[in-house]
Amino acid sequence: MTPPHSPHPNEPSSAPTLSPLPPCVFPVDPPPTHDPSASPSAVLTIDRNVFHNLGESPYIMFFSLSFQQSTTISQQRTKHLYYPLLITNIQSTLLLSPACVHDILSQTRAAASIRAELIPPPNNDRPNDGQIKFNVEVGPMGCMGYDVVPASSNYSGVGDTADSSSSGGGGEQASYVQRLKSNRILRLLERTLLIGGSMDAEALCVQSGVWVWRLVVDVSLTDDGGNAVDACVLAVVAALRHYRLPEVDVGGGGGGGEDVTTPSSEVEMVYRETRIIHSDDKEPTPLPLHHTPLTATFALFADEAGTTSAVSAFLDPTDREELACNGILTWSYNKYGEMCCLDFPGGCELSPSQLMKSSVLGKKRCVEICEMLETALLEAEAKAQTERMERLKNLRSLTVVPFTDEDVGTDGDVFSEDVIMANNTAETDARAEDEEYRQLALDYASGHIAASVKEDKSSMSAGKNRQYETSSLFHALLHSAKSTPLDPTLDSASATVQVKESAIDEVVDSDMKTEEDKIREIEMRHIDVEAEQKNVSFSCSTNAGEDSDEEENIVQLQSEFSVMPSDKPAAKAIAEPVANESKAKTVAPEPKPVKQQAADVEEDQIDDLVMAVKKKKSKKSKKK
Amino acid sequence: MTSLRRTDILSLIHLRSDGRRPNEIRHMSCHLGALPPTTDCGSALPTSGCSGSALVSMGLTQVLCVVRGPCDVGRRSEELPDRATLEVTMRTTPFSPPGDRRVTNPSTDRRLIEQSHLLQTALSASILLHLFPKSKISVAVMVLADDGGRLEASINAATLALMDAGIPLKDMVCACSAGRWNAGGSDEIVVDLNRREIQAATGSAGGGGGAPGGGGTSDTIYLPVATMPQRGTVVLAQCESRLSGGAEAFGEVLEVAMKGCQMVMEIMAAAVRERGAGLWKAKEGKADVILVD
Repeated sequence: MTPPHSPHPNEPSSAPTLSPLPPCVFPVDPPPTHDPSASPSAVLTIDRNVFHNLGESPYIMFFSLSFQQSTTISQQRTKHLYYPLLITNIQSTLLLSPACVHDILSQTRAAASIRAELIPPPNNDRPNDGQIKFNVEVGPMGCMGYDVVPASSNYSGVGDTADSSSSGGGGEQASYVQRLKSNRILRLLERTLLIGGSMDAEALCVQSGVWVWRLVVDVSLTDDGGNAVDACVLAVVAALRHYRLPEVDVGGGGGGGEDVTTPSSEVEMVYRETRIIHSDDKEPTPLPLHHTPLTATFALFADEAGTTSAVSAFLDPTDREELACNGILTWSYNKYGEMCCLDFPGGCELSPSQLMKSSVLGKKRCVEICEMLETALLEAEAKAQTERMERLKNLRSLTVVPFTDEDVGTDGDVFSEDVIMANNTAETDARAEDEEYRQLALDYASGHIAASVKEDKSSMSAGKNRQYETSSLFHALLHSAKSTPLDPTLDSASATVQVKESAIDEVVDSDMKTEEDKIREIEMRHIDVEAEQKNVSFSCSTNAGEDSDEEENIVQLQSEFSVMPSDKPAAKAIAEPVANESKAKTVAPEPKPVKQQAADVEEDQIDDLVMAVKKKKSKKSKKK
Repeated sequence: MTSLRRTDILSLIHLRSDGRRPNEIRHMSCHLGALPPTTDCGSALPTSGCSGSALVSMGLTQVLCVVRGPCDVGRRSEELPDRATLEVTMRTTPFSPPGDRRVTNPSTDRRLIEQSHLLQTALSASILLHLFPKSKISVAVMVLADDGGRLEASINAATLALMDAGIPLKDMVCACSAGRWNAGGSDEIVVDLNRREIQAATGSAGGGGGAPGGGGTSDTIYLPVATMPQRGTVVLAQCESRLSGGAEAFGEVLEVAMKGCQMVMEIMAAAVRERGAGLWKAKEGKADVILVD
């Protein structure tokens, strides 16, 4: 059994004769190194302290190893049985969250990155379920022996690995092994995270039956030095913890971002304008993870001679150990010591007591890695926050300073995008967003000058959707003026109501002497001009609903004034003066007392606006 | 499918949905030699080429397994110099899954690939591969009907088919599943779960990404286990549920699963004896079976 060997510098006694090579570059070739007894090059006597002996036997194990790291095993694995773990480079996120986990588990590295997409619910019978899709890629970057193979993922569409090389000749073995590896990682991820209960598909629902999140988790093994499973799981869990889901604004309000509109005129299922708010504007939320499970993998070595049932388990095996082992066992625990998953694909017999003993060790190890993960996450979080602050500062400094036309354009764009609505859709928006809307409308109306108080400006949206600027603005104004809790339907027909309201406003405003009112007057006149331009486009549509609107008119107005005081200025005047005035006269007296309160409220709300408006007024005069 | 409440699993009279008691396995029938190794027509038709076969049904789950080998390895690159290569493929038929499950491509379904691999490693712990260097033993499993527990049934069928083929084994590999619910405050450990019970235990209705029903709060476990009952060792175990109590609860369920495997083994051994007796009888005219404990 003793081969000719040259004395290794570290180990005076039996040392293998393989030349030292960095472990992660070795090709994966199962046949030669699969069986240690085939080419034994060393006999290593291992002290019981070094080995974690799961068996009952108290003997010293004789073990023959044919790879280079036998020496390292005996020396480094005295206490811990695993290499130190380093989690580095958990990078900060925007919407993407690359979490690159450098596990120095004998230089095994895995990288995981997450992105989220809004999709309509994929399962018709589960309208509240989101989707989490794992793509596991084990490619030539990981190891020289791996081929380029598409990632295996857990949803059809991106099916399992379908190599052309596998249909060919000699590549089949390698790709089969590789496919198994990625498959195993994938299944373990799936089981630990999805079925094991840490991620809840229902928590990814944005709007029931309309929008759900789909999280796409891409895992790639950048270096395979053994124990790829642990590294991948760690990377994925770190990425999931670090990732922040952006806020979604359902139904046209607030900040602008991507425009996901499907104009439809269905009565019930309407895809509203849903926006993913950029993470700069609204703080993104973390993912709803119930707990963070991590895994600990053992490589099992049965007794060679078969005489004893003693089994040795190496925690966190290197690639050589993996190749030489008889079986693999993976425990998954979270930081509270709760067992999450057990995956024992066999290959080596274990008595139940041995299994339970290994569970204890696995638990300890998992808890330790969990702690490391937590500290690393905190650091990464802090870093992400600082970066975000920096970015926002730069952003704000650009928009606050000048009230130039360009910025106006920007702001107008922002505003208009906020406002894009389908003509025939109706929403009931959150009150807060309405308020913001009105403030935006105020700005726009008062001369396109930015009041940079609002949070949901989107830098991304600049330049987009310019063509909708004017018409959508109009819609926006109408909408904001219009929308009240009592009135769910918002259609162009009801635009006329706005029109009438604005006429009334005009009448009433003259009584007020506050600055805001004056501003409003100016706005309204300004908007009148615009509105008249738009009138044509709306006349046809408005005519249809006119009759009904007239009945609603009064109701709306009252509710309008009582509920949403600040949207008065947003109500824009449009032609039909005759009808307006007649109505206005009738309704005018009523809103007055309400208006007073409204004005007060307005004053409070638009403090900054006053400042801005003052400047605007000067500009306005220039413009006019 | 109507929504299944966990209280339905164990009704008040302590019977499960299919009328079993918690510690009873499903009705299991094994038929060795289901596929005859050679056809009757001699050389006109190709032989099925299988060395052994077995048809196993556990409850409503039915699995057919065919073993070929040891034979020559097709490609030299796949040869192992000192042992046989074990190649396992597991496929489902299009009519096997129940109606509400999505149709999956059997050659690329990740669960099937995983289960093939599990089967391979579980069996390789038992087959004496060293006796057949540079050759190949191929095991092909076809799931004919799936009512839960197809992995366990496949393992059992593969073991029986290997025995039918005469391939030496260290021990029979028997598989059974066990599970546990908190049904109405009391824990019930049950053996050999069928599809409905598995769904209740894992909470997913047959699709990845489903939210676990009760996995968060109560300790529901679903544990398929393969053991070598005579040696008392566990060869395969998979558990994917969150247990708050750590691994102690898991240990209990494991014990119950091992007992279930013991029961399965008895049935399988009886089937093997019967087959052997039948073959002997066909050859010798009569057969006496003597059990030696």
